[in-house]
Parts: sequence; C-alpha cells; structure tokens
Amino acid sequence: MRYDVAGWVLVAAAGATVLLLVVITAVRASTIVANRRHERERSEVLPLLLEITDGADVPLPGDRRAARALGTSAAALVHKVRGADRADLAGWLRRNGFREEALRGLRARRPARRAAAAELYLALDDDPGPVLPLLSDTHARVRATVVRALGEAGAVTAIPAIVEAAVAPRGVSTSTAAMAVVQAGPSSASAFGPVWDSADPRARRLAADVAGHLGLADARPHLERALRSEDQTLRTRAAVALGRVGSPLSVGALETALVGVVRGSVEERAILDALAALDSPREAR
Amino acid sequence: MAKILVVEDDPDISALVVHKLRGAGHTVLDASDGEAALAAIRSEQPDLVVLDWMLPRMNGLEVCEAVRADAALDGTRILMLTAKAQEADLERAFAAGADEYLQKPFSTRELVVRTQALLARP
Repeated sequence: MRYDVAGWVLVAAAGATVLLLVVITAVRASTIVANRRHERERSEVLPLLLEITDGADVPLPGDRRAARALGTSAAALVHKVRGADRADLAGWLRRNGFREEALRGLRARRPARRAAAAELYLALDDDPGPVLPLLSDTHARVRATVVRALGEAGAVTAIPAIVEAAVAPRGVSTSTAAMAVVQAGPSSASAFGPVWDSADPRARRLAADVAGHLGLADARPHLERALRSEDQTLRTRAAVALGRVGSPLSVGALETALVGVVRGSVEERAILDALAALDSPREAR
Repeated sequence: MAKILVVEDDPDISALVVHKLRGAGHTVLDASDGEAALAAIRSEQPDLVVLDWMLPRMNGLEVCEAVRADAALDGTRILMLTAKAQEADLERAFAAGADEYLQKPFSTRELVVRTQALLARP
C-alpha cells in the first residue's frame, strides 16, 4: 500500500515536471515568435518612419498592424531625437491621434502602459497638467518615469510638483527629482514658486541645491533667508548655493551666519568657502 | 564623399543616422556591437566612425582606444554619439581618442553638420 502511494507521488511529480517544461517551452516559443513578428513589422514600416523624419506627411497605413507598428516606432523614436526630427515625429503623432491615445493611456491598468503614455504625452503636448497626478502613482516606476519625462520635456511649470514628489512619502528619490529639475532648466528662482516657503526643509534644500547648481541670481533672497533656518543641512546647502550664485551682495548675510555657527562644523566650512568664492575670504576660527 | 561607419545598437537610431548621412551623400556602413565595429573599421577603413558608447560585447570607449592604438587606423575620425551626459564622461571620451562628442537626444541636422566639419579638418 505504502509502495503504491509513493509510486503515485512519483508519477504525479514527473507529470508536473513535464507539464512545467511544456509550459516554459511554449512561453519561450511564443515570445520568440512575437519578437520576430514585431521585428518584421518594424522593418516594414521603417521606410515610412524615415520619410516622416524627412518632413513628409505620411498617411497612417490602412492595415491595423502596420499602423500600430509605425505609431509605436515613431513614439519610441520621438524621445531619442530633438530639433526638426522631433518636431516632425511629434507633429505626425499628433495629427494621427496619438496624443489622445496617450491621454487615455494615463488611466491604463498596467503600470508600464501608464508610464509609456506619460512619456508620449509629454513629447506631444506642452501642458504637463494631465500627467501630474501620476507623480503619486502607486507604482514607483511610473512616478520615476514621469519625473524624468517632465525634466526631458522642459516642463518648468511642473517644478513645484516635482519637488513635492521628492519629499512625499510615496514619491521619487531626491536625486531623480533634482536631475529632472536641472534638466527642465528653470531660468528664474520663481519657477520653484511655493517651494521656497515650504514647511518641509527637504523641499527647500532641493531648491537651494538646484538654484546653486544653475547659478540662479534671483534665488539670492531665498537662499539668504535659508541661512537663518533652524535646519542645519538647509543652512549649509544655502551657503554652498550662495557661493555658486556668486553675488558679492551676499557677503553680509554670510558674515552674519558665520557668527553663530559651530566651529569646525561642515556648515562653517561651507560659509567660509562661499565667502572665498565671493572674493571675501575669512580665516577659519 | 566620405565613407562612414555608424555603430549603434538601437535599430531605429541606427537606421535614422544611416539614412541622414546617406542623404548627405556619404557611403555609409553600419554595425551594432563593438566587436563587429572594430572588425569593420579594420577591414573597411572608414574616414569617420559615428560611435555609440553603450554597446554589446565591447563598449564604444574600448573601440575608440583600440582604434587609437592601431597605427594602421591613423587618421580615422571618431564622433561619439551617446546618452552619457556628465562632464566626466566627455573627458573620458576625449581621453580615449574621440574627436567629437554629441549627446542624445540629438538632432540629425547637427550630426550631419558636425560630421562635415570633422571630415573637413586637416
């Protein structure tokens, strides 16, 4: 009896193993077939894609598969180029309804589809508004993709939302947000808007870092105010940023900040370095 | 017109660059990985190589160094086309022997103009 049970268990295990191998083989085979089909479709529409980059108004192919392949290729390429090529591809995608498709995709169930839709939408429309809710998406990958895409799209009006996402409990990493803000390329400290008055010092730290990195001269009053913050890290970052902005008008505020600072601290070093950068060097005390 | 080798593993970018350079009247070859690129450079001796950095098998920087170490390839001009954007990356590319550096996302018009300027250098 015991032998019979053991035999059946053995047969069941062998059957399960064979079934698993069959499933794995079937999945691999279908993936290979799908990839080959995708590659063939991509090759077939490549001449049309190149015509679009030459400025031709190529009609959307009547065949659904070809139309989808051309749209997918154009949507993938539009992020990789700039200038006239980008304008031609974005124009073609807009004319053929891909902006509206991207808008629908922002509400897709699959995270990868939402992320791709956000990227495509931002390549086709200057208003970042519709993608901003995705900065608090449940999936980290979607949030990070949206932040990066906002930066690449030069969405200056989205900067306060990007900074907010960097300090949100379910947001993006500070470095991702900072890179996106730098890439967005604000020309004025006013692009940070309410961030300068944020109750969260981490938001103001990020603004100070980026303002210093970009040398935004009109950030000086905000940075000088940050020198009086209760947050030591913010004070230190503000001092570094003022050194980078390079206005001699900041010497007085830095000298005042130096008075109460802990000797030998990182903050003191930052203030002394900033004063030196402003041609007003002081000896370490 | 010049003979140019485009080394790029992204098929769409490769096709686009090849198309635009052919449109500018050049003879253009292509390769999609570093080892194939180096073999093509040695056999075809192109005037100029448009070289991606992140490549399978052998990266663009290694290809660049191998070309510069080979006296038979003296005079081969190299334009790095890469998504790497840090100042340190640019320094590494020039230290490895690149003549020109263009960052992705890129404009094909700019690429063609820079290519012409590079080919016109003595």
